[in-house]
Amino acid sequence: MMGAYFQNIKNGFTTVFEGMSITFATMFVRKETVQYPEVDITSNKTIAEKYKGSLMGMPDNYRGVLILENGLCTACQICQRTCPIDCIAIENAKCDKTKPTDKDGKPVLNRFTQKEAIKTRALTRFDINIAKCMFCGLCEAACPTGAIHHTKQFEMNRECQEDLVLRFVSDGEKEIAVKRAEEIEAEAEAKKAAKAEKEKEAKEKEEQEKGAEE
Amino acid sequence: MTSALKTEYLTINMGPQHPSTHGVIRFILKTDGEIIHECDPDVGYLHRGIEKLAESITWQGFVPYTDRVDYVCAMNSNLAYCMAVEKLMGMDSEIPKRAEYIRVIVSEMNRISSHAVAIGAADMDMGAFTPFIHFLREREHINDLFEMICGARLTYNYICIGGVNADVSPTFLSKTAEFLDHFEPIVEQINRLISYNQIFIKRFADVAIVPPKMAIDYNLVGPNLRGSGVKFDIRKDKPYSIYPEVDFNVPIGTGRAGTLGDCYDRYMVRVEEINESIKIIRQCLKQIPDGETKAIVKSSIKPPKGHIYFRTETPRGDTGYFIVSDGKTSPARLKIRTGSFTGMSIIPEIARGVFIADLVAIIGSLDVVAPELDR
Ligand code: SF4
Ligand code: SF4
Repeated sequence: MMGAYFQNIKNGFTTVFEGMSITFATMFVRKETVQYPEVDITSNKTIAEKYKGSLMGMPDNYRGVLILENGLCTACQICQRTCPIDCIAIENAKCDKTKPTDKDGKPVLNRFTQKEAIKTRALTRFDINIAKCMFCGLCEAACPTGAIHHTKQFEMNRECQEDLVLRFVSDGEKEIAVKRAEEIEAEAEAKKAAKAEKEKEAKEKEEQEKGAEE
Repeated sequence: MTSALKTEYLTINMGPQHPSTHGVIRFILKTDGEIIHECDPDVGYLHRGIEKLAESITWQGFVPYTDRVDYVCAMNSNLAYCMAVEKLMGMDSEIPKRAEYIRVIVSEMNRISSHAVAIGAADMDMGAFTPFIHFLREREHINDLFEMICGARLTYNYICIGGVNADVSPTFLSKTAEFLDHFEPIVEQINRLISYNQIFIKRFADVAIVPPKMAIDYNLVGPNLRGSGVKFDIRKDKPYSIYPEVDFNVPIGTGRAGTLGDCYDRYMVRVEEINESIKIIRQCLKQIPDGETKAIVKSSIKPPKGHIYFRTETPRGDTGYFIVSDGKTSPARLKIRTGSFTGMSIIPEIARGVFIADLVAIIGSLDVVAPELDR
């Protein structure tokens, strides 16, 4: 009885020191804490400058705030339809048929069909609501031209909620696009009218000829 | 002599904001001094209606939502849902072998990190803060590895219907092997630090005993069930993916420090499962073939009419997805059956007559995660 009592006390002591020995050993282990923001964590290289631990910096495929490369976008609205929470809002208008090119001037290929991407509509609005976005990457994966993609930016404090809606089409660009669309519309209208006129003339002619035969 | 003093039970609230409830859960306790007379868990504080949301979004669009069902083991949730949909579409045999291996590697890695958090949190609830910090440090390495393959640290959206979203690089595989070599001794080290600690054992042993029959009656799943000595693991008993091709044991509770099915048994099952997961990943890393990582899937799928119930073994036990499809672009009905919920339902029974401080031990040992509980 008494023996068990003292045994318990002894166990209590030794078990504490067992744990303490590990805690003590940990004092000599490399420190893993990253002192953000003093340490630049955006890539493996920059993190190694000031940080001696074994954690890695952000990878290149990090899923941060979205960005749009207007030049590549064909306004196809696939990303808008793919997004599960509707945080992308796209409006577009007709434009001249062009082929988007990348920075080096090469035509952009559709990633899925490997054909050259063709742009027939211009953006008049492209808003991404970062406040709603969950950075799932579905839109990036679905975009055929790679126009929308994630950046490494993850600091998203803004002063108000409106600032969290990223607008990629300025009012000026929108005006130009809308104007051009109206022109195209007018041209198309004019063409249509001319065609109708022609057809009408041809019909009348035909009728006249018919009448003459009789 | 009848007492002239009128006595009654004192009703107190534990939670919703309580450090040991792992999220927001509320317990309404009727106590008699230190002893709990009745414990009534009140769940639903984290209900987000994920099951209902599924009815209005596309099949693929729901995958990121499964991350949020259980954020501690998002890969396993992804896997459970994707495999259910694949089965519903009858394309489960088309999944490339490499994708299957990657899926098992990442979900076992996630099991390690989830169990690390579960064990660490249980220690923390018992007043030992240090092991939690050790485990979180190790979990950061796993998060780093996941970030490398999918670009996110917690809500991965990596496993998709038809395979995985991106192939893994050889660097990832070698880094994973490196991590396992580094992590394996640490498990033993942390065992010495806390699991074999006499004070900790005294605190956990013989508390909240769940006999095997009771565990089955209350439908406990996963480590909680195995802690009661019932050898049932979906990976072994209803194998899916490539689990039949790997060799691993199913650890069960044996009454190591006291009675079979006490808190310490449930705790130790998790510790041993970490070692088994390490074993599985090692084998997968050896066997992983080259090849495709995604089967051809349309961008907007419409599974045929019908329903499916598919179970997978996640760290919190047997997670089942019941999905009804009416042939449209989104599920007609989706129901998620989670391990935390059944773990919660047994608490009123086992918490009767224990100390208030022991309730914390019970919650810690059952590894209840609030968002998974409420969905
Ligand atoms: S990352 Fe996901 S949530 Fe965000 S805009 Fe893209 S699809 Fe929508
Ligand atoms: S970002 Fe891509 S998917 Fe979205 S409209 Fe532009 S081209 Fe289409």
